[in-house]
Amino acid sequence: MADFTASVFQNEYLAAGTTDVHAVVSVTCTGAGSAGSSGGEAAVMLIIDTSGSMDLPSSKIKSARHAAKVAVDEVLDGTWFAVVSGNTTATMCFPASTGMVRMDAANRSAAKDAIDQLRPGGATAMGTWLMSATELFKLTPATQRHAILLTDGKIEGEEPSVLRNALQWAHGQFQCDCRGVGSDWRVDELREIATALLGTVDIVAQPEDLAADFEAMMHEAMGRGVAQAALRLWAPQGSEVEFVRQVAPEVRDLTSTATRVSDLIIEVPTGAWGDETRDFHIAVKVPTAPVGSERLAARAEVVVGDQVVAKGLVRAVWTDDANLTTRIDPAVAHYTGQTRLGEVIQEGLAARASGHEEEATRLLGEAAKLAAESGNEATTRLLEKVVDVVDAEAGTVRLRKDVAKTDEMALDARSTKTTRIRREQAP
Amino acid sequence: MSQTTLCPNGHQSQDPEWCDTCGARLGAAPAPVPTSQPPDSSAAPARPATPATPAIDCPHCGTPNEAGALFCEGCGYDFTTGQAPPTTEPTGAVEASEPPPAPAAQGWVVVVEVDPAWYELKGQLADHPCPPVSSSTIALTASTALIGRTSQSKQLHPEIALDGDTGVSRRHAQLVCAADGSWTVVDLGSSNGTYVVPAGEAPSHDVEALPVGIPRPLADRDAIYLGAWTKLTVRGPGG
Repeated sequence: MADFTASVFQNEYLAAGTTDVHAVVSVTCTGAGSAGSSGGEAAVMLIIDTSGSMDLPSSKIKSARHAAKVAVDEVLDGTWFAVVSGNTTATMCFPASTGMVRMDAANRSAAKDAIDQLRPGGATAMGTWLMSATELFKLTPATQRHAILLTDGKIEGEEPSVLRNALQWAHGQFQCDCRGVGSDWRVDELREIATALLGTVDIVAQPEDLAADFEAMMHEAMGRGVAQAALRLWAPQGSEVEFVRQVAPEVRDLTSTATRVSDLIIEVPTGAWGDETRDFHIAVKVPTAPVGSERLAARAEVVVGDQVVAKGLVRAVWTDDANLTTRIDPAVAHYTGQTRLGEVIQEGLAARASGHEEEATRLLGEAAKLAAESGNEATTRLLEKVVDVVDAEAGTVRLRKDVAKTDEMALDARSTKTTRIRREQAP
Repeated sequence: MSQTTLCPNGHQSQDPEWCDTCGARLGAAPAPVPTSQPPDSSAAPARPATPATPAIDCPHCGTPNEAGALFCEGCGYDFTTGQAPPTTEPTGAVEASEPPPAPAAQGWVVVVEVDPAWYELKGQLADHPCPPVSSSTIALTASTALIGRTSQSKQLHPEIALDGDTGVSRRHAQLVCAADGSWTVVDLGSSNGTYVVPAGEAPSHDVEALPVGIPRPLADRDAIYLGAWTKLTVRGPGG
């Protein structure tokens, strides 16, 4: 049985008359077990781009077939399973008829044979693929549903409205990790899908690296024994939850996904959980209270199947002592910086792409400063492929000429990945 | 009635430590909580009670409902009169918090399948054996979609191209989206006819071809059969 704990990091002291309460709630799950082990059944789907460009070069489709078969080997027996071949339409690869089947030895072998038959041709219509995936998942009794979508191109031959509709269909129905192979796909398109469907987005620049990535993704999906957990937030009368965002392991704004449980309670879905820790940054505006008084500013509860499995209390204490009120909690400060880091990278790259070099230099300079300050070495390395860092402390950079497109896309796709707060900074 | 604590601001709170309503600190002495429910789950004032064992399952849609409920949470079935909800409404009252429905003609797909059961009935229309089962999904983006077979010479490019099934006419039938967002299918004078079978039913010899030129409304998941082996299913966002 999975065990959840929640701890809260905040500076609870507020100056007289102020209302803004920030806290980081760190949630850890242990003993999650494997997918499908906690009562509900699990379903996984591979959605493989078979548009014509996957043949240019043919190493893309060959590597995709190989990666899909490696992923098939990771799927646990008994898990509902299907492979969809995506081009202008979404066509069943395995099984051949509309539906999903339970994984067993015979289906594992038949699935690999079917994957070997995947042939490229046609356009890229990801909205259609996601609509088909939604329908297929609904045909199973599985409550834990996960898809891996691989593409090498941007959406074409499909109206933009199809993706919009597809994301409405798919929202809350399944989680989807998105991968782009090569450099002809668009980070923003995959990010839109992954964000709406609680998944990750990443680039696999070299086709031959797909197999290792697919293996890891499917292995991780199979290690999520908690099908669904939600973060439920109570905040007092007259207050307003300004935002709820996951901030580790990557930034994911959950505010718009909140559903109202009652006048004072909202709930945001967080998807399936394995053995892991995720941090959430919560901001609440509460009605002010006289100096010396204390109030509960938020109660954050982790809810699994309508059971509260962990909770953390966010407090507010009003005081005249400026020594107490001016301190910013290190965790809150760290994740505020990490969120900003992702924003300035995305804005900086967009500025560069539209020819605004000065703006791009300023934003990516701020990114270099934030990444260095917070010890986010992975992001620093990615940044250094796009800019020459002159002075990280001052945020001075020069845009590099002849940047590889895949390096720029990797920086963009991974811009929301955060580091945990360094131990010596922890309260 | 469980015991409550009076908060300094006048609210009755079930949580003895923090006021349920305004969050005020209620002092260190926690009041006994006689109910078996954990104090936090009862702290939600307006949250509907969720009994451990729902008392009635809706006879219409199967959704569990509380004892004494007047209408089904799932489909709006009237427990008092036994009246089913109007069929024109999607059975998705619980999805009311979802984004607003897409405008007409958007967010529908057609699933194109090879159906051996239809080949059993109409296989003689084909000049070769039934192909292996297959299934493809096509998004509907305009308010009409032609069902037929591609012809380069006639410059005919149907949205639903069933090129492999020679029992399908070049211009066979058309899907048309009505102003209310529902779909109809109309036979355009095909050689071998267009057939509609309600969702969940298997095709049989009894099913009759649609009259030519007269639109037939489609319910979600109704199946359209045509040619020697083709089954089309129109699926909407509500299902």
